[in-house]
Amino acid sequence: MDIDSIPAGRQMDSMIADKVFGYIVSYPSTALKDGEAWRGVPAYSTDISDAWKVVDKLRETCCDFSISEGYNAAFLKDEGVFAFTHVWVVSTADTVPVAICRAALKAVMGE
Amino acid sequence: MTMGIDTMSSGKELDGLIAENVFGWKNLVWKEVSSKVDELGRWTSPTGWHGDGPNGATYLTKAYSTDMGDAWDVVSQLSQKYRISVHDMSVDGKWWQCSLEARDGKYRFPVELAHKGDEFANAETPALAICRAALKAVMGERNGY
Repeated sequence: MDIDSIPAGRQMDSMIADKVFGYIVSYPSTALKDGEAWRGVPAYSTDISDAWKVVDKLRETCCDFSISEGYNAAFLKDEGVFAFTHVWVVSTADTVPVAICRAALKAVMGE
Repeated sequence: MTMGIDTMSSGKELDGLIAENVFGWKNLVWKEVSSKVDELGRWTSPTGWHGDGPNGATYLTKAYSTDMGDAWDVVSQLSQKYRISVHDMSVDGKWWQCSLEARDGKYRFPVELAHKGDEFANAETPALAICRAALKAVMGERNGY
């Protein structure tokens, strides 16, 4: 799958909920199971506040983060104690949420 | 002035300063009022900043220093003058840095070398780092830095 070609939308939102947060996601209704309750999948790929939850989640679990104009989102995966084991996972998109979501999917799924 | 900005906390004071200095609000006054619901079920006169804002706004709904979505409005507002980057910059994950690089058409070499007009700020959250850097940038412009 070419992550860099996935557009903003419910498919990407659902993939983030599944792959990054580990929720059980109901396709294609885009609901997720949060404990015993079902609720809508946040708009990770279109809403900056929701996209930043993705950043916070990956910072907890694996990665440092950087974003710069372009927009270039980058997660730094620390896979060992040596500098050469640190890997930048980068994605570029027209919007900040999409750049974050694509980079996050690459970080958790591997490129 | 910039010394104080680097120690400002997130919250209503910083939100008000951003509204005034970045978005051009005038006559901002903090009102502690009991919220009411009008006949259509809308909240009226809620506690918060009231004043004269862009496009006829009279009540500030933004929490720039605590909400990343609102903080990014600050970035967008300054984007014609500055290139932005936001970095998670500490080993313990507790510090963020926002860099605002003036669009002066000049290369930075070495890349760490700041030019006149560039600003940066560090903070515990990305929203606060953005607000501090933005305030330093706009206040620096006024003071001719």
